[in-house]
Amino acid sequence: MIKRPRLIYSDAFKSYEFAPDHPFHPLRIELAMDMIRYCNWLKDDQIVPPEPCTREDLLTVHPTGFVDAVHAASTTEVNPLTLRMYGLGTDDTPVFPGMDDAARLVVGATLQGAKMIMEGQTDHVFQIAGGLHHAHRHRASGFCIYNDAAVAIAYLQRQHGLRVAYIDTDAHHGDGVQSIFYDDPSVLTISIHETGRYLFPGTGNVEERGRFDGYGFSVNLPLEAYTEDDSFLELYEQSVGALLEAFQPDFLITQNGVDAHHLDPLTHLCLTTRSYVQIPRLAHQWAHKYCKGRWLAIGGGGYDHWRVVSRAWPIVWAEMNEINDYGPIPEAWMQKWQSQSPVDLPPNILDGEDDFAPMPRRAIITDKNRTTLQRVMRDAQKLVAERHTNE
Amino acid sequence: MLVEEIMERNIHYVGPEASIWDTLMLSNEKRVRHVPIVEDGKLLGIVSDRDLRDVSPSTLVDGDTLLLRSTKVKEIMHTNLITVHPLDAMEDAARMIYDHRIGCLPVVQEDHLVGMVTTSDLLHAMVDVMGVSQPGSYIEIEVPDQPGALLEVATIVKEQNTNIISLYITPGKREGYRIIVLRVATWDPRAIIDRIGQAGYTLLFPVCFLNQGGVK
Repeated sequence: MIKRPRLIYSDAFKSYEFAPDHPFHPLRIELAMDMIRYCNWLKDDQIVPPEPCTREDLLTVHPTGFVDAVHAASTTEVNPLTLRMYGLGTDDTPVFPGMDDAARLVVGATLQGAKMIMEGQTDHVFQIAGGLHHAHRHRASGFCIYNDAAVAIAYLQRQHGLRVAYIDTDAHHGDGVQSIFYDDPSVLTISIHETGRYLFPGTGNVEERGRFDGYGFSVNLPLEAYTEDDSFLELYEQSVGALLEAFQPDFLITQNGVDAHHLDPLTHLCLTTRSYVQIPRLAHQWAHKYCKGRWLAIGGGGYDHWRVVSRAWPIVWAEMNEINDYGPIPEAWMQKWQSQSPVDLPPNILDGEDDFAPMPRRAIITDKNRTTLQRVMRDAQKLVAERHTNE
Repeated sequence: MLVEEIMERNIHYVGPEASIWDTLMLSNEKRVRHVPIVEDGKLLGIVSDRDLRDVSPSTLVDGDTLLLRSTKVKEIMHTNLITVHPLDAMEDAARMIYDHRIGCLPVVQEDHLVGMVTTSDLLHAMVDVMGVSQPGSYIEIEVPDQPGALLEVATIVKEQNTNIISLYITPGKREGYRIIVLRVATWDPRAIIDRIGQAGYTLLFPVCFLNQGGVK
């Protein structure tokens, strides 16, 4: 029996909406899903509707006070000071009606993806609405309420005793997942992101490496602003591959934020679809090489909904299904959406070679990133491999 | 910020009769480069770790520490002292360290030594002032060196109901201009950036042609 990849989706994901003009808008998911369908990359039996997680599932990661506050704020007025304490009620992460249900659905879907893989239904799952990597144990942050990846990782650890590798290529630092497993050597978190000098959450320095038993199991590669494909891919390929070899994970989770693209309005990295083809392609290979194929891909950031998210997430799904002729954007998709888009839509799934002018100071940016890579990799493999064999 | 806000109050010092050896040990143990010599609370002199090493035997020969143990620190201490007052400004202290090419300033109040300020303390204070210890969305704007520019920029930030994490102004790279460096407390600074552009100021960071999306 061929175990076909699964995609977790239903329109219920649209309930995770802070405000009509908020950048983390469910339209992102809708545009990407529509593209996948119009490209004919999805069979009906590959779609699995999401199920919400339970309170107990949340409590494997989040404390009761926080879970209760989110629940209360979804239905009644809660003291603004209490909300602030939990990172809620800000302009970035405002409270909205039904917030608790919407957030539980996202967490449930990611957990479901991990369970489907462990129960042998499939090897690869794409949870397009997941990737809420800024949520901390005790507080919401940066559009993220609960940490879906952390709940799935906690399940994999407790129910199956697995070692999990979490790779985060969102342009923002994966601070929530890192902090939740900061002293845990059974979870390797690797985050490649724009340096915190210029944007939130400000963390993700090379020196953040974990603590106690987990020292060496948090890895950060902060990139210079205006980093382009070649330099990004150099760091991605040379760090992640070597670290996975040292760690020998049982399960791979990738956070596929696509806000490092040239067109993204919230960050200053300058990738193109060339990176967004290569990121899941290598992840796919690593999943087979180290994890018996177990690969759960989750979404993440991405704020140019029309031109970037609509193309980059379908590429993740195509890679899972070993589809690699991307071609032009289907005419029907174009007709459906162009009139609503405030910007001209690109003609093809992939960016053209010359779509973007080279960035000024490319050489020095590349050199700085390479220096970062060297600083990280000087002893990163050794730290992970030593602890691994000492267990 | 005043010296009293950034100075180290927990001072490691010796008396004038202490041996050079004891002073050297204190410097090593407490990891301080400058040891003040104090009697009855009054500052008599100072020695640096370099002064102490200068009088120590080379590690390449079998040195005898007898002389270090028998010589008093008052024999080698500097007495021509440059000190600051707790109410001096941090930037004045920085200026003195820079002008005199020294690494540390004893803080003296009513003839008594009350603290020490080192270059690291000053750097640390500067990092705090720049707000680097807190996250923020970074914006760098070139403005004409005229009254009102800062007010206009701050008003734009306020109109978006956003907090300013830190702000500093540097001399511009061009004659007649200054650079305002702002860090604002929002993940999505697009509205602020757009309005700063509309007000006619030049954005140095982020370079605006990159963000073609604009406010949706």
